Amino acid sequence: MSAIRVPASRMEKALAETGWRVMVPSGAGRKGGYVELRAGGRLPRECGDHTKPSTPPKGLVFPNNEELLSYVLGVKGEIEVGPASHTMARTVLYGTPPCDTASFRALDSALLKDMAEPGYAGKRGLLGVIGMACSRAGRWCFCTSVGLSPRSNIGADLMVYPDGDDLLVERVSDRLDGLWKRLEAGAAGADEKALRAVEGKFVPRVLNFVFEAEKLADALEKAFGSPYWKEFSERCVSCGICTFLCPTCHCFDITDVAKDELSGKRLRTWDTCQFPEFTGETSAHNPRKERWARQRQRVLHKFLYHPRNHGHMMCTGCGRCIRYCPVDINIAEGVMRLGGSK
Amino acid sequence: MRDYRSESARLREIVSGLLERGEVELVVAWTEGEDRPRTRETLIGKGREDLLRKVVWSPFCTTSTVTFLKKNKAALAGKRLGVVVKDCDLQALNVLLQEHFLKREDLVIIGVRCDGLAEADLFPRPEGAEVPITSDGGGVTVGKQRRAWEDSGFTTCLTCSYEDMKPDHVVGEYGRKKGKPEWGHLARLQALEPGKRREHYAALFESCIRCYACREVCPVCACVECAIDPGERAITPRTAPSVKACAPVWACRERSVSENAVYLLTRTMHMAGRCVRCGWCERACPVGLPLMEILDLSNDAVRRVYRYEVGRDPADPPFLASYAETDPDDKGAGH
Ligand code: SF4
Ligand code: SF4
Ligand code: SF4
Ligand code: SF4
Repeated sequence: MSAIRVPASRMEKALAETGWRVMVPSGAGRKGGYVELRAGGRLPRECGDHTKPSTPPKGLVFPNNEELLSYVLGVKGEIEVGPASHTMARTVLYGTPPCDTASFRALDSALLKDMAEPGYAGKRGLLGVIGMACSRAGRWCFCTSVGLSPRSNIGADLMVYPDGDDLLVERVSDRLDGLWKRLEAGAAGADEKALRAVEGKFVPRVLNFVFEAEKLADALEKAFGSPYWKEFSERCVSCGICTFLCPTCHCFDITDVAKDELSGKRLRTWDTCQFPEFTGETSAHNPRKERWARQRQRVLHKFLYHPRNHGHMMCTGCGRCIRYCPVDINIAEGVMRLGGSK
Repeated sequence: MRDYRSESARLREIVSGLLERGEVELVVAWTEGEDRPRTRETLIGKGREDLLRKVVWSPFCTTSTVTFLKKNKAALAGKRLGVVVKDCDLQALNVLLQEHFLKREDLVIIGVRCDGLAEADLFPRPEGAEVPITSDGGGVTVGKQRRAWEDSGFTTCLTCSYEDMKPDHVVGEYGRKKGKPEWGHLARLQALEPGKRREHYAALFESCIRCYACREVCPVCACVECAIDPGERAITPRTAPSVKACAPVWACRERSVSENAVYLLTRTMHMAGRCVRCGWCERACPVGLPLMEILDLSNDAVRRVYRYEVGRDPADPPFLASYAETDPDDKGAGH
């Protein structure tokens, strides 16, 4: 059986029994994030743009500040390298909207697929994702333009579709089988038809930014030399908002931080193609000195390079970069303009 | 009641006149974008009727045209420019003029009389250009949706006292009595016992993600290279130690209370006598840090101890470059 119907309270109980850390969206807005559910806390019963916090869930497995190693110089000149701890408590993300759920597909393809990056892989192995169908699209949402929808389960291990006081739970991967078994015991099965019926309530209603994904990469490739990039980015201030808040952006910087002459640590922190020094070379040459070149990199990485390499867009249509950009730079507007809107 | 559609029409007349008569080459103004009532700063040249048609002035002109000038300084150098400014933008522009970052003779300044700003995202998207945007003493109205000023998302505007600045052209008339700067929040913080105060600020510093939006959107944070992340310097095996020594790392990239504090407090210090309290940094911060609360630590000193008024007149000496015989520190009265 790959789908069951359980009361929402049963999910609460089963999750509590596992003893895993449960992280839930704290609600939309700038102060929000994915936060730990306190013991006995109520799981969210719905999700949507109104529950989607400004900071995406990627920080759990790809933290903004991560110690990669530490070192101490011994008295005889030997260097002792401290083991990196690429671990975290076993964690379940619960109630992620499809855009945030799908972000793990993009992150995995960059940091796990061809060459597993140990810092990410260690924590990713301890993370389960329970996605939830989204019942309220927001003003900046465009998941349906990037190959997703309010009910897509891409990136999820279990997918839940709220239905009154019940949840239809679909098993998507085997990663959360421990939990699945607890839920499944004695639960009513849901056949394909029942699942589709409930799923069908979460209809795509995203209308603002409509473009055709299939033709996009080719069109954008042709637009590489377009003068529009300059107009698109003339008011950009080169901050880190659009990329730091993007659930799929995964660029980082590595810095050695000396504590004193004898010891220190190696840190990884978020970096972004929007910072001028991102492509700074030691010779002081900088191939992307201009803001329009940096904005072009952001758009093309998401809608041309990543799709060519991995077969899916590196944008989940969550709308955060549009919503939080201080100067109203709108990636969907740019893509529609350059890639031909419907 | 103010009707921003007619004020925008007046603004368009002025802008197009300046361009037509060749008094300026380009104008920086707000236009309506895709996401109304949001607006965006746009560079408009002669003949760009498509852009001119969208020129707008409303409480949703929340971004800073002066930040736009700062960001496009190199591209705009030597050009005669028109720039549309709110009162706080003009204040910021004056700071940059005082510091010779820009030249007054290069600019034609069009001032809009501002009663306060409102967060566009709190209002539904108006369908159609005919939807009126109005305001009065009590609040802002878009179509049928009304919000009180207190409820419109811009706390700094509630205590803004700038008025009657002297631009070259004026659009609109004030429709509301301006407030008074408020400093009660500082007194409340300073009354906390040191341990509690430390905890309060540590929590603020901790949540910063170092996206630097606060620095980048700030109209007067205008250094070509910031002390926090200098990136223009070539370091090669042959770089002399003396050159390297001139590039100390004041704050490393670690996201921690102490490193974030170095960034945010350095910025606060460098803003002394320059911060115009437009609140733009605080509004841009994606994690909602109350940045004015930190900046006001130095703003308060500038005002209270040095009695300096920021950006009042482009001919005033910059705060950090002026000296008064009455400087309290010189009499040993300071620390
Ligand atoms: S590019 Fe923008 S809309 Fe797309 S996933 Fe990233 S933040 Fe969301
Ligand atoms: S868009 Fe920029 S910050 Fe995001 S992953 Fe690509 S290069 Fe990195
Ligand atoms: S597009 Fe917006 S959020 Fe992104 S770097 Fe530019 S100003 Fe910042
Ligand atoms: S905008 Fe906010 S999060 Fe970004 S650097 Fe400034 S204080 Fe930190």
